[in-house]
Formats: sequence, C-alpha cells, structure tokens
Amino acid sequence: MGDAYAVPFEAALPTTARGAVTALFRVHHKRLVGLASLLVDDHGTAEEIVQDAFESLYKRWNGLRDPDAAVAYLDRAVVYGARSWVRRRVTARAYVLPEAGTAPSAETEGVALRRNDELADAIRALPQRQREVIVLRYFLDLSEEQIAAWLGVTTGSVKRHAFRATEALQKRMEAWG
Amino acid sequence: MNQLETAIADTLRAQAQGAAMSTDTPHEQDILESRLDVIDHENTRTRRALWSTVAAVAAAVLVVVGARAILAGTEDGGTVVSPPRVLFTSTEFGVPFTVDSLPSWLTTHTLIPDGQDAEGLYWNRCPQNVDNECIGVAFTRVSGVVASPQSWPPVPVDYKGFLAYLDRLGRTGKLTISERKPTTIDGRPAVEYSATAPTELTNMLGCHIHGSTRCDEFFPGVPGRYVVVDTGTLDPTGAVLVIYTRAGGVGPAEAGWLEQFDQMLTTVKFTGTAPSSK
Repeated sequence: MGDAYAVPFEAALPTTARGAVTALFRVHHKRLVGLASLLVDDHGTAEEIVQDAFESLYKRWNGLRDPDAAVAYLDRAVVYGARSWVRRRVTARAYVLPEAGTAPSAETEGVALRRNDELADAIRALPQRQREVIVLRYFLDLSEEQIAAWLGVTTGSVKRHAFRATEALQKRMEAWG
Repeated sequence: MNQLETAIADTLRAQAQGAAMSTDTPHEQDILESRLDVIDHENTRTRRALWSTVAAVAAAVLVVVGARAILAGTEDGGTVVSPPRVLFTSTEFGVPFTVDSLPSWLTTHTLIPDGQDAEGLYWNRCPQNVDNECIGVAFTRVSGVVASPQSWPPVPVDYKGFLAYLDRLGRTGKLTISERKPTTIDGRPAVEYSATAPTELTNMLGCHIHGSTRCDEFFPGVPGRYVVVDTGTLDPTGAVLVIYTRAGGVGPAEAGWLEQFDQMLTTVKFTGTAPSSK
C-alpha cells in the first residue's frame, strides 16, 4: 500500500462499537474525504459518502472487530459509495470537459499549477469506471488484481479501463501542450 | 512509473489533500454521532417490536391450544388461522409498504435496510461489501429514463412508458430479457422481467427526477429480476415502483435466490400514499 494508506492506528480501539467507530472516524475522516473527492465532483457529496461509510461500518461492527478489516472496509465503502445508487448522479454529468486550448493561460497561473488543474479536470471527466481504476491504481496504489477484486471485474477489464484512461489523459495533455 | 503516471499520482494526492483540508472533522463527527443515535434508536425499537411479536405469537398459540382443548370434547376442532405477521415496515420510502418475509440470504443483521430514503430502499446481500452490485433487494421509484449512458438529463416516464423503454432495450439487444410476464403486487398491475445486461448500462435502470436527480444502473453480466409496478394513485408524482433483486457480480447467487425474492413479493402490502411533494 502507498502513502494514501499510511495512516497508522496504533492505539487500541475502544471496546464498544460506538467508541471504536468514532475513534476510527477521528483518524481516517480527512483521508477518506480526500479519497471520496477524487471520485465525485462535489465536496458535500464526498463528505456524505464518508458519513455513509462510517454509518455502514457501525451497523456491521459485530462482524468486523479487527481495526485493519475496518479500515479496509471503510476504503471500499467510500469507493462503492461514490457510485452508490442512493447518491448517484446528484452532481455527475454536470461537468463539461473544457476544450483543448481554452484553459487559463500561463500568464495568470503557473504552468505547473495549470497543468495540475488540467490533469485533474481531465481525470474528473473520465467515464466513472475508468476514473475509479485510475484513483485505485495511482492514489491507493492497488495492484490490478486488487482493483479487479474491489470492483468485481476481471483483471483484463481493469487493464482495458486503465489503458483507455491513460490514453485519454495522454492525448489531453498533448493537446494542451 | 513514467512521467504521465507520476503526474497522475501527484495530481490525485494534491486534489485529495485539498479536499481533506477543507473538511471540518469535528463538525462532521457531530453529524455522525447524530446518525448513530438514530441507528441505536431504531435498533432498540426493532428489538422491542421483535419481543412484542414473540409475545403476541406465544399468546396466540396459548389461545389456540386452549380453544382446541375445549373443542376436542365436542367436535373435531376448527381451522387455526395464524395472526397476520408484519416483518418489516418502511419508514422513509415514498410508497409506504410492509412485507411479511425477506430472503434469508440477505446479510443484514437487523431488519434495518442498508439504505432508505423517499426515493429508494435496499438491503445488501454481501457481508462486507456495499457495492451497488451487492444490492440484494431494492425498492425504487422511477420517474425518468435516459436514452443512453451518455445522454443527460433524463426524460419523464410513466408506467407504460417505462415498460416500453425496457422492452426497447430488449429489442435492441442492450438488455437480454429471458422472461417477461404480467403479474400483480398487492393487487396492483405489474410486469416482471428476468434480465441481464451484456454491458454496463450506467443510469439506465431508471432515474428519479423529482428533487435531486439520481439513477440506477444495470451491471454487466449480472442477472436480475425486475418487477415494474403501476402504483396508480399511491404515488401522486406518477413515479413507477421498481422492485428488484440481482445476483452479485462477485460471486454465484445464493441458494433460493429468486424463490425467496418471489416469496417476499407475495407478502408486499402497500400501506398508504406517497407525499405529493416527494
């Protein structure tokens, strides 16, 4: 696991479900909001997805006493929650990918910062499944096999999504120069 | 990692960090505590209801046994009629209903659904998985459809229109419909589809378009049974009720998957009218 997972949980969890879940919340909340924000376009939705994940964990706590299992559960719940049918498409599809060449100029923003923003926009504009694969691969540092297991698809499907996504991002970056 | 991959990773970290820094964790924790209070309250209420049911059944058994003992001396006895037993009552869903049975393969530890609001209600089937593909049973109100995963926004649809839409998906090969038959749910006209989508059909299982728009989808290769119900005046918004189950995308269907779903359908009772504002 990479940096995104490098959140230590050294203290023993409280013995009650309530205490354990709130302790996990304090440690992992910001990181999970960050993860959710990569998968949805609206900050409020990202926060709500994280709330849902902790609520779901609380409901299932009897079967999930291991802190490591709980953290993994939360990560997955956030990824799945991002495309949950309950929240689905509240904000998605409203975003329109800017045409090449219409981004802010380097005169007003630093070139590196502008490219960062452009790349972020391009990632947001990817089809949802491709976006998920990119986030799981490059933010959570999951292997193709792990991503396949998380998403319930074959590794071949993961490879295809990753290939198409990086190809689209590459073209977009080339268009922007 | 090549240059592009490094740039992607750096961009994602920067974006996530920005979002993380702009969230107010103490405030969010207050919200979580409130939500956990609601769960605790519902769990307590469910346990009380369960004990009340157990007590009622025990009392009914005693009455029946007593009556039979009395009748045994004079005639052959009468038919024992079990008291009606409601297993679950929806609390937030816009088309209120009760059911007397739920599939045993649902993994929820209580009767509380994994999700419920005015537009949708569902229970998952996987123990540690909250993916859409893990939804075991869902009740959802559909009031709009999209022509393709790329088209947006959804256009309004009624009962007949939604049936025509599903049939069209079948005719064009987007949805493989293995069975289509008319049925009734609590006396309401309905059509049951057994169907599988060869490819992912994002947003194409129908949307609700009153308030915030959101849609459901067909997952590729995941078989499901979808029952489209004409709720008539039960739903003043004109939304169609879709009750569905689907096998998981991550494993084989459980034993009795469809049989138990069908059994549940026979026990659905609509108990009121949806608020017109929803």
